[in-house]
Amino acid sequence: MANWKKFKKFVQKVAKPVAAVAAIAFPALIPAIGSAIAGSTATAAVASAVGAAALAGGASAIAGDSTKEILTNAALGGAIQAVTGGGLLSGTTPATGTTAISGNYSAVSPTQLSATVASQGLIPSVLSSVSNFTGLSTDTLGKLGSAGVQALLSSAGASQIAQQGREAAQTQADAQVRAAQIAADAAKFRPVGVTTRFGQSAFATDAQGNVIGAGYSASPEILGYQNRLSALANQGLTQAEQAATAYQPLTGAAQSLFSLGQGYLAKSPEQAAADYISKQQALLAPSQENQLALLQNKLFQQGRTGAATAQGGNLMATNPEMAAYYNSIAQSNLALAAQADQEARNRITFGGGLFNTGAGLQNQFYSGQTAAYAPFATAMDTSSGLESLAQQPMNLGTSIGAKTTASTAEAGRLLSGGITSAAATMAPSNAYSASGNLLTGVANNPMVTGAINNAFGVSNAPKYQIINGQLVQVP
Amino acid sequence: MATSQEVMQVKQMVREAMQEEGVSADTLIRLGQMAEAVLKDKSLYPQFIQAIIDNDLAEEEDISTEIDYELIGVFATLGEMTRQMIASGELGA
Repeated sequence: MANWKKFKKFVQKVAKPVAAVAAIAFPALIPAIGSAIAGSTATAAVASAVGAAALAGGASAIAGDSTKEILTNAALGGAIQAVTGGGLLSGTTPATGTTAISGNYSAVSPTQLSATVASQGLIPSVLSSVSNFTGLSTDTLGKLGSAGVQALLSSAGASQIAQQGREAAQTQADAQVRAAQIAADAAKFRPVGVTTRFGQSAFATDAQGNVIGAGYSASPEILGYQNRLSALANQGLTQAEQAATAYQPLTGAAQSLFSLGQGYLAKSPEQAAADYISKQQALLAPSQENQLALLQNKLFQQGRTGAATAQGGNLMATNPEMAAYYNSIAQSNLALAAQADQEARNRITFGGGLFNTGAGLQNQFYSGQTAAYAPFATAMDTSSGLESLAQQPMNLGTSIGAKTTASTAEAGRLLSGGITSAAATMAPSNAYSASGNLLTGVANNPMVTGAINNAFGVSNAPKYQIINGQLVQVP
Repeated sequence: MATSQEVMQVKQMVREAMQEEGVSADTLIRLGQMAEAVLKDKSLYPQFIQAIIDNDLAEEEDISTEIDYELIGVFATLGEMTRQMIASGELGA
């Protein structure tokens, strides 16, 4: 089979579906065809509408015509020959000045025109009517062919509706922008100037009313107090700086007490008891020796030295005075032994107490220094309190301003909402076009509307949803 | 308005038709480029027709001297779709 036969069959198979999806598969094609037909001076909208009409018009290849019929009797070519008697190569140039679809839509029904085109073809009188309706030249219309002109009549309705919609949307958008500007202006923070006995607020704004600075000034009375307090604060700070030196003896005393206490705590209770007894005996020893000497001297004077008397039982004989003397010493030692344990505990407790006392002195060394800061801190606190008094006007101005701004902003929001709602309410009315809406019924060619959408930048991207984990295209 | 899914279906149809009728991707791309050139400059239409004849894609008596914009559009779209299919790997270069 010759290549041309195979190619003819190929074209017959794919031409119709390819033409149907051309606007999506090759978006730049539609306006390119429109520009080629309507001329380079045509607007984008006209070029898109004409291009879509041309591509949708004939579809002769789809119908299974022969290649010859396809190439020679396609809608455009046939119509051109029928109406104008010339083709594109005959030198006929597209009319200029037809850059907008702006015909008298209300005078003639596009449906009637379309029906006339269908029944009578593109005879001169019909071409003239369509030309008057669409504003396109008869030459351009002739190139579109009968079916193309019918599609264009549909697209005229869609185009007009799109234009009306665009203008309505612009009107609505303008209203929303104005409303937003009003709301934003109303929501600007507007602080209020306040003056009290202690100070005065000071807010700075730029030419647009935006707050660019906030401050306050203290009253002379407050400033006078603060100056005097400043002198006190200086003096108090000097005292605080000298406190460490002043309290240094406390540290030495504390260390001495710690050493002394360490001596008491270094011995065991038994050692402490033994020390106690030894020291007490040492204290009693001189008087006891003196008493013994006196007793011996008395016995010597009486001539009874060495004399002893029996005491009965298995007790040995002794001098009664000497026995009483030694018994008293034994009694004294027994008493000392009985007190030694308690005295040992007392000494240990005393040693611990020395530590407590030393720690207290050391603590006072620090607390004294801390307390030495009190005069400085008191002066500063008082000065800070005076500063707060001076600051009150600014805080009051800010607070009052916030409240008034909130109410103003609410008013602005209400006004903004009202304007936006009004714009939304008017949008359908603004978008309404009697002739355009009338044409809606015939402007249902998807390729034409697609071309118009492309011309107006309307996205036709497919919509998808995730259903049962699958990405599914939805209408 | 056609959807992207429909475009994919048409591409599949074109691929099948290319195989069945022995039409190469190179032929469609060259025809598409020529069709686009004609849309930009209508004086190139005779060369476009001559190229069709030279490539044995049509007989001389089939050729009209008038431009069929629908056919031009179909050729341009076929060329673009073929380029897209090659770029996406759907079609071998």
